[in-house]
Amino acid sequence: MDALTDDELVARCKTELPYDVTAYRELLRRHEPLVYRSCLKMLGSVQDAEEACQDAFLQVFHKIDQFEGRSAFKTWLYRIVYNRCIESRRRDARRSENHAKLVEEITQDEITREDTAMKNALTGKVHEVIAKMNGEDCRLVTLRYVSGLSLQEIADVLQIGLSATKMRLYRAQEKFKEIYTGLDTEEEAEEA
Amino acid sequence: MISDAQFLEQDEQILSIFKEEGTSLDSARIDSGSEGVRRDLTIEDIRRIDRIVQKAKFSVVAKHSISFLFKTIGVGASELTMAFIGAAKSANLTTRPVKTEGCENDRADNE
Repeated sequence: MDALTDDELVARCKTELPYDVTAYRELLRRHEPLVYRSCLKMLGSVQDAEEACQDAFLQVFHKIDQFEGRSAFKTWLYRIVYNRCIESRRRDARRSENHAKLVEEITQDEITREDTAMKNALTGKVHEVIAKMNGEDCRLVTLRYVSGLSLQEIADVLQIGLSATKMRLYRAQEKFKEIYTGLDTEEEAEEA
Repeated sequence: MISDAQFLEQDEQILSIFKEEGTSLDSARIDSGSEGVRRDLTIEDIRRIDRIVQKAKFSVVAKHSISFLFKTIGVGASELTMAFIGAAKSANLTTRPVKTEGCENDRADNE
């Protein structure tokens, strides 16, 4: 299985699923960890990330027949993941609107407990910076530096032109640097 | 318009920040990039993968079960309808002679 390319694995999945999941499992082994970490950075919550990642791979399982191979499997996969993350963000926004009152009633103890759990899973200065970025910038930076997609692959995922992608990513990079430098200054001020 | 050199320079800077401060896994992925590279999976990764595979299998079973259930309900409903129709028809057949007999008796009484 190791020697097979993604395209070969996809071809096997098309003929073998749902009865034999060997090729599908290999695709998961190759891509799931990175997809999960990308979701984690984009969504900022372990539970949401796991849910989005699971949904994306279930969609791959059920819709692999519809993948025509016009783009690389990785691009197709990340397009699904990207859309899932946007959907999840929207759902969260709606949920938080609807349950604003309920949130107010949650005791401070519970919030602290959840924060600690999340901090254990999402640590590091880079994560702090990403968490402070807005949705679009956060997703772009994640696709480039966490998922490791090339500029062309990001353009394919977003389904926009290469120069537009470069422009957006450049702006996101600027934002990243700005926040990152800001954090440095904050740290220095604290130390002083 | 941003030049390629400007973009690449900035890209390189951020990439190095991720390599320095990001988790080792994240930076390793950016370096390796190519498909089919054998990567070390953590126990947590394997557990998550197993959960996805189980969920995928379950979804297939659930899908088949639901379609089987609907088919069974469909077949059951159509057979039940046929049975009702059959029963109604036979009821009509059995009640008609009784009516005729009753009418004949009435007629005989009148006479």
